Amino acid sequence: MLSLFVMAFRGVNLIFPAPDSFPTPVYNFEKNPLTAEKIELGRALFYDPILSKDSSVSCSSCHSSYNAFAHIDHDLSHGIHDSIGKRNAPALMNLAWQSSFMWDGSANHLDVQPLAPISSPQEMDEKIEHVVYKLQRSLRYPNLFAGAFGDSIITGERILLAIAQFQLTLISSNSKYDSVKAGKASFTLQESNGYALFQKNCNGCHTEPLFSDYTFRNNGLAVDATLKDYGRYNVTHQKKDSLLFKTPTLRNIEYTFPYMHDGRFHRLNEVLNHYISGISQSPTLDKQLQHPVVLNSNEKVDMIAFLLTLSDRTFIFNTKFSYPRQLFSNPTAQ
Amino acid sequence: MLLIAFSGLLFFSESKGQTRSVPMSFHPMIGEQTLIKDSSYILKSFSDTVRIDVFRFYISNIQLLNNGKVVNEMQERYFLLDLFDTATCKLYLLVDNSITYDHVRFNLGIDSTTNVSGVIGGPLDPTRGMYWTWQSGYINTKLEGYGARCTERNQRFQYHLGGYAAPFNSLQTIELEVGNVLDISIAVDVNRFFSEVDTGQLGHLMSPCAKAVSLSQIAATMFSVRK
Repeated sequence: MLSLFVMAFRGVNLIFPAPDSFPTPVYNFEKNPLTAEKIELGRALFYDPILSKDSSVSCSSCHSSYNAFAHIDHDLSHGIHDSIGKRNAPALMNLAWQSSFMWDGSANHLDVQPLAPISSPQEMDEKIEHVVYKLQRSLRYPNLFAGAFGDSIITGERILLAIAQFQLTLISSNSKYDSVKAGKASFTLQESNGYALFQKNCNGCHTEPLFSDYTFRNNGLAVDATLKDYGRYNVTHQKKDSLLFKTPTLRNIEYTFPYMHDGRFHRLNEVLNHYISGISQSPTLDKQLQHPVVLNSNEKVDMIAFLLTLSDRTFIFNTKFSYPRQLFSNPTAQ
Repeated sequence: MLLIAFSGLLFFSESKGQTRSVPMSFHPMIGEQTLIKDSSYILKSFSDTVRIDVFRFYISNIQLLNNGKVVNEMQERYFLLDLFDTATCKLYLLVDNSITYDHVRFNLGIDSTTNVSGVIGGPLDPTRGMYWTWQSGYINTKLEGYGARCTERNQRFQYHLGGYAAPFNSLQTIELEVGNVLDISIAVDVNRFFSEVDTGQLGHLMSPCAKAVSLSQIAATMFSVRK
């Protein structure tokens, strides 16, 4: 009787803790209902370099929890064999509200996105079939899969469903901005001014409360001749998609420098200067940027003050999201 | 008493909606001959000599039709066929005895809804080598081998046909007249593919594009019913 009671609590479907102020998530949880065991398995896989060919690179190598899962201080992210890639690894948060992934949207679902970095010769240089092979032969994973899925069979599907579950839990909605919106805190005068300027100039693409509408846009970045990255065009091969990139969130922007798909701006001031006087004209330039943003130097300071209110320290320091020290200190942990 | 009751139950389940199993098999052909892995064949078209070592594709949404109406739909939706592995090439349709049919219909490839539904296991598991990692989507047909005319590295041709999003949706729906046979036998004649595709002109294709769509249309012509 006791064992039945225990079994009932294992693998219990968790309710996705969507913030009230956010819209309805787009991820189909019915297909992949959250359980504590699958989330923990996904977290282990996220932090485990076993996913890479020579066990040197994990997801966390480019997606660091202390930096809102971005890759700071690198304009282009680097991976296995000292390879440098072509883009800056984006920050990971609020993924349940996104329907496509990567700067060019080449991943059409959260579940399948990890296949790209796993297989990329510049990132992990591995084959998902071989990841299955390695996990089957590890001490730790057959137990973890059994705990999560009921038996220790390891498949590509199960690996990806588990990683998706961990990533879905990375919700950031507890910044000062959120407290102000909930009536629990107040902006300073600077932040308040900055918010007004933000709503006037930026909200059209970096729409509240997610601070992005996650659409593909050309925000006036001239193509880098050394990279020749045409963004969404690479996926659709439609001219109208040339130089379009996915609008990133501004949440935790304090922590996720450098900025843009190729990390060309290191400081928020540089980003603002781009929108003020650096926009490059092209046929696919977003309509909302046909006229540059107008901000004087005081207004720039106010804007940045506001952007800093999007920092969510509870997200950055959440021990449920960070490196699973306890699990990894025990080779056969369940 | 128990025995009578038990056999009574059995009789009841047997007489209600009797079904039969209709085997549906796929046969790798080159013209009239059976296509053998790694064997060399001289093609009439383009005077090429080819040998094939990879020939896999997805078959999905198998239906039986009668007078234009769908009378049977296979519950198991997706199959990954390896034409060089006969065990994967025979499927079994469960058909009600009362049903007659004159056509079989199936997709060559995976439909777009499935393509955007995230990760799926079984024959659709990404470890099966039929999923593009760098851009989400299934490879509907994989055909690889060597061609004397082929100018690729090691003269190896690789056709990975996929793409689900407009305007590069390469899914093909195939409908074949079968008559009310007890056994559906389908020839997959690679000659029909190579009569239109010259390995000397196009040695590899591995992304969703207009060419992938046209090669997929050509690939669909490989399928015919063996009498």
